[in-house]
Amino acid sequence: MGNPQQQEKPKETRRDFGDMPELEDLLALVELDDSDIIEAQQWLEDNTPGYGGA
Amino acid sequence: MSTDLLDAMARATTDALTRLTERLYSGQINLVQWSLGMAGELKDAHIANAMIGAGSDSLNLPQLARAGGTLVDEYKHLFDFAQGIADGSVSEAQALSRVAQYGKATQQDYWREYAQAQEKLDAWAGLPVLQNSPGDGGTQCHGNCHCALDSRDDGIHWVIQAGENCEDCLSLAAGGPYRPR
Repeated sequence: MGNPQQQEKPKETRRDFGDMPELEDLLALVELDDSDIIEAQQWLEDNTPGYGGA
Repeated sequence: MSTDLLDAMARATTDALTRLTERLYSGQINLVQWSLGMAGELKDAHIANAMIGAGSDSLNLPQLARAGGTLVDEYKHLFDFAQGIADGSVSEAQALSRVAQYGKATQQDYWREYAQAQEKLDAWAGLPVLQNSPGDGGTQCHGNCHCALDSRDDGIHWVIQAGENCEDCLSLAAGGPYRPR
């Protein structure tokens, strides 16, 4: 057994990214409705040039 | 269905998530903004994939519920991802590598709805249920493959590409045909 202090790995400096998100806030986004369909349609138009609808 | 559209959608998702992650690490946005931005982008992409798979420009309630179920799982993973970033156990390089996998994962909604739309209820009633969709991460390769589904008269087949398949994908390909879940 060596000296525990010598075995300890150097820690990386932890960056501050602000507060943690709440899981509940993320899961609240899953209450899907017609507005989400409209947003996805817009997403398709924006991201798939030439896509003419299903 | 050309896979070009699917690939374009996956790339668009990965590009958007990469930009968000780069903005996080450059200090332009905080972790809450990153998480909500990621979640919003994933929602649009998963629903868009489901619409294309269903062959429709909308989704009915069961289709929306299935997309929602996928998103619940994705958001739980996203929360764990955010925790890893916050506590330093996920490096910037690891984070960027990880977001690159999210684009492919959105294709599970396409394949699931594609299979559902093809179902022949009576003819396929005796077939085993297909429990996975390509891209869902439920295989040893974590969906990092180019597997696809093909609807034929006798059911849904899991189609593999040469030289890149894990044991689970090989087993799924050998176990068909299936009926959708």
